[in-house]
Amino acid sequence: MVPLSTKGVLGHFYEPADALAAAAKVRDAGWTHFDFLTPFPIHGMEDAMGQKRSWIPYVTAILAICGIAFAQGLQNYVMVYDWPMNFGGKPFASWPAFVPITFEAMVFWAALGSAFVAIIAGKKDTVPQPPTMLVTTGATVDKFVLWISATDPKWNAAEAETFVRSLGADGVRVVDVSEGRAHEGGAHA
Amino acid sequence: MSHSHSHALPAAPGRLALPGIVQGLSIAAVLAGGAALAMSFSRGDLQLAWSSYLIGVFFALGLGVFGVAWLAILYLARADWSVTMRRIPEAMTSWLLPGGLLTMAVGLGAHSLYHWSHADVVAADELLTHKAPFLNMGMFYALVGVSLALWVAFAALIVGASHRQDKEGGIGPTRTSRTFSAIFLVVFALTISIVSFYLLLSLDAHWFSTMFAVLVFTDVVQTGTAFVAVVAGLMVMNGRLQGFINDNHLHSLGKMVFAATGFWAYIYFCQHMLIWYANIPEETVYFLRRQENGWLPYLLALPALKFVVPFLLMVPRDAKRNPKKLVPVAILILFAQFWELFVMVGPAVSHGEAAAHAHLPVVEFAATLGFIGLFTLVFGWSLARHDAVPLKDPALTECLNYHS
Repeated sequence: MVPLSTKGVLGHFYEPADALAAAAKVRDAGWTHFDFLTPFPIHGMEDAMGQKRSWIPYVTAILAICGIAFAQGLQNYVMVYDWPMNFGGKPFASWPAFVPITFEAMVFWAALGSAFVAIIAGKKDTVPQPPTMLVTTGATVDKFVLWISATDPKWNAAEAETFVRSLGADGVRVVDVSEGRAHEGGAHA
Repeated sequence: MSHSHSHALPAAPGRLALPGIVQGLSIAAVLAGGAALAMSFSRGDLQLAWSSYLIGVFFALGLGVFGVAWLAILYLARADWSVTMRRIPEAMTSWLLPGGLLTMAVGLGAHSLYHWSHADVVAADELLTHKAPFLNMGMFYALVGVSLALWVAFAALIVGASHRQDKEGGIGPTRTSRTFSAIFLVVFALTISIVSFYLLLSLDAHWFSTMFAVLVFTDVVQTGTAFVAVVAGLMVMNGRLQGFINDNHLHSLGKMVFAATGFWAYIYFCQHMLIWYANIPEETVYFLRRQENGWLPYLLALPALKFVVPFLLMVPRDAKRNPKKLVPVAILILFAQFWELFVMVGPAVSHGEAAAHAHLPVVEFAATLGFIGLFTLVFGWSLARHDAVPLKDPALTECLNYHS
């Protein structure tokens, strides 16, 4: 499951470029537990947020090699050792015939495996997310929503709210569901 | 609302000329290539001379036509990331006129290259007699000439619209280019087939391969993107076009080189597998001839040079973004293209008892270097005639803010 936070501050931006500029400022101000909830991926956001390069490509490479090994092993075992058959008088171990299957298995293993690993890893390897119901629906339509979680080591509610407001964000509010009900602070700008 | 992405433009770069050292190297290459060709002509080794000429002229012609084809692909794909490096393919197209004339000159050496050009051979050969309505010198000059003329014409239209935009600005010239690009890609598919059939495939007029035109197209794309990568990479390394081309643009360009390298392996293997699988004598002769007379090591080196080594080197992200890593791989690919043309042409120029034996391609390489040098000089001359960046292209801002 995605880790959830009970407390934090939300702010809206209306342009992807503004969101990018804001992300860089949040990063430079030393916040670490923050995220951007956006309707679509923004190119350059990882750099602006100061995220490290993903380790998923290494998983892809390893899975690709496993796929090659699997396909070569299977074909050589079946076509040469277990059940050899004569196709057009060609040798049982005919490498050109094995190449297409090997290629497809490589792609299949690498692509599906990477997708699964990315989904599983993405749920664990993320900053605590805001309480679901409190995020504006605009984050899936037309708003770029900044979230700073109260789990951040330098958390201070008043300071965080002022900071997000200083970035030019709209609809800035401190949310808090730590006592089982929502406390919303801050006026809607 | 603040639009933080509307940065001020970087300082206009003006015009770029070839650095003196590149000009010097190009002139030296032209002299060396010319000397090598002249020597083998004067020694009467016409087959060696003309096959070297063919390899060199086709190498350079591929770079020239890639300029137009790539412009067309970029316009149709609306590849805004490429706007700041568009002058590179535009300058490449200026080779098409001189290069096209040099290509037509292959006809003068047809007797040394193409056995279908000998009337007595054709008369004694039922298959060649059957093919004679297509494979004769009149059709050679007519079809290759029309194809090359179409390339020159479309290059003039597409590049001309871009230069008009430099003066007028506006989206109009972009739209014009898109229309011509759509037409050109159809024309290109047909004409690159015709040119590759006459110049390369007909070296062995009995052999045929349905993959051949696609393979030549792939060669053109792989080599062309590699050449652009060399130029753009050197520009970035030397601080030219600072602010206009950065590692994000190189990354996209590197991905195109990488993709073309993978695609080359796909197509070359397809051709090999179709021939291997069907096992028809007229087709298998191509690979059999390249396994005899010492050609096998040359044939086996080809997939290593053109796919395995560049592919593995280009897998890491940094290899596409860092010009110090991208440029050497691109140069290796250019060399591999020479190697492929040598493996295509070398074993095919003679038959029977006189079949060519494997040899280190010294004259061939010198001739190719000469043509590359001549190409580079024309390229540099054309590059210096216009602003180095199309500053009035409506997609310029999009390009400057590109993230890859």
